[in-house]
Amino acid sequence: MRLVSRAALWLTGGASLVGMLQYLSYETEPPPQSIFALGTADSYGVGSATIIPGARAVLYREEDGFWAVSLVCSHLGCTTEEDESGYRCPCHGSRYDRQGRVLNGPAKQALKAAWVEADADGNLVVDISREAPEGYRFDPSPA
Amino acid sequence: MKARWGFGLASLGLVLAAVAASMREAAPAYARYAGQTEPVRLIPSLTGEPEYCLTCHQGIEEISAAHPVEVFGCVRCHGGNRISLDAQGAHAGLLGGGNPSDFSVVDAACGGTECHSGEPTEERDHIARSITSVQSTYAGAIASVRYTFGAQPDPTARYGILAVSDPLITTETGVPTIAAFASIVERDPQAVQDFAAECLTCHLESEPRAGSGYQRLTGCAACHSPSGLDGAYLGDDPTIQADEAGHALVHRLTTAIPYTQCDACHNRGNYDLVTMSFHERTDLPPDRRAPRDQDYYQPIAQFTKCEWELDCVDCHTSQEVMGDGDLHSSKTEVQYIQCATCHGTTDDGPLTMMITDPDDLALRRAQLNPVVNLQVGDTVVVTVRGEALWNVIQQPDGRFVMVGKATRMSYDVPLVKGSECEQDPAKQGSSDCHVCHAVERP
Repeated sequence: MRLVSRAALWLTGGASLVGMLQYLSYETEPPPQSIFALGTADSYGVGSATIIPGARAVLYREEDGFWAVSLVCSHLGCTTEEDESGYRCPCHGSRYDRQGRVLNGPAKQALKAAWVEADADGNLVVDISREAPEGYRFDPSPA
Repeated sequence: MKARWGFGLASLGLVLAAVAASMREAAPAYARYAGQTEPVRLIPSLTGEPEYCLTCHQGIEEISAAHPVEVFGCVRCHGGNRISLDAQGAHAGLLGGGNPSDFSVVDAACGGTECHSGEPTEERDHIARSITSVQSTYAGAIASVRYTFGAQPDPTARYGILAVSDPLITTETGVPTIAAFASIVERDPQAVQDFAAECLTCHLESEPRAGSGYQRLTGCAACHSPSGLDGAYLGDDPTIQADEAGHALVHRLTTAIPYTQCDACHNRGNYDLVTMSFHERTDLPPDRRAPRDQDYYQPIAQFTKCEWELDCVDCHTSQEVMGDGDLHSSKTEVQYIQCATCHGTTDDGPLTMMITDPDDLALRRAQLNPVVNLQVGDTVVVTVRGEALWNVIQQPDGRFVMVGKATRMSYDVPLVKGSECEQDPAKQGSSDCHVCHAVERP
């Protein structure tokens, strides 16, 4: 009888320990990514427009530097797609020019400009959680 | 000795509980749906809040291209508990059961200034229009029956299914408010009471009659989520039983509404206002599975070929069907499309409009149901009230072509002007056209 009790006790303890370890080792799911690595500045020619699919943004390089526009429609948040005049929302038909300004609704506000900067290694990153001010340009060349 | 037995039994109980918990963890309740053993997380971009509904409802169809699941998720429209992994907990607080468009919850589910309760000037007042429409209030039928049986002195609407007010009347026939029919019906003549008891299964808030051919949901989904004859779900959501009635065919909202959906109310038979009872059509098979030419609309009426070849929504506009925002006393006050709308008269072609504004409503509607590639610069037919029939487009050679909103079939629209028609210019109603053009259905 004592043997049975001890075995049961061990089993209970073991099962509890497994449960406790599972609980302690539980990994919460990471928050959605907001910063995306874009590689070196040299990868982008002057005048280029590169869609960054994961970031739902487009990266422009012009003479005066880099800037990015979020492709998230300002109406209800669908991802806009390139069309002949700029970007078009496949959900409700809003259209924007290449600068993100509204060409037709239902959207009333422009696409947001996203923040572009260099990381510690000097590579470009875009932070879609951070809105850049109008006319913002990031110049990666050393001052 | 007793204590030892007690200890042993308690230990055994603990072991069994631990084993049961482990088994449940290894095979959670939601695993019975296609074997999914890991919760499926979705963070819709509109809300930014994780939800786990797709853990069980995996495979469910996207409701529409205008409501992609990665943007809207499920909870924005359906409500419920977004992080619960058991059905009871997840469905606590669900809006309208499985149908968030039911008018009792539609404001919470589908409302919002950027969604379906926005400004009338932007045509975003879909909910307000629908709730004030005669299809919802049933005010025309109620007024007509009460007037006929002497319960009110004229046929102007005073009562509807629900009490509704309209603070902004835009038409000559609009009424400012109607009270709930149920609040006074007990004081009405017996015939009106019988009407209330037996004949209120058509309006958008009512549950449909039982049986094949009558199936539809309530609220917006009554029209925009087409059902099959038996109300069975044929989609890929593993949580819904295939033989369970009360569902749309699939999880879908559409403006490409087939005539069969309208038939669920408009082609079922007739109410006999002498006996206040419903008389089913007897010329259809019992299961209502009739070919289109036999199924179309009431057998007692005269119709031209286009009226049973096309779908109802090809001609009847949003303002006719969903209302113009006013409370009306009769469907005739909002039902105004005539043959002449598309075919013109002996003197003139149809009214037309060239689309010049990229924000034109016609473009927005064509975007929702892209059966035509409508562009700025295109010319479309418009009604006498200025509402565009965006699927009837003038071609470069002057012809008009209609494209079916549900069938995508193209039809040349013949014009009266220049034809052999000898119509009296003073008689331009559709019933006048039917005198010559009504056809025997094959």
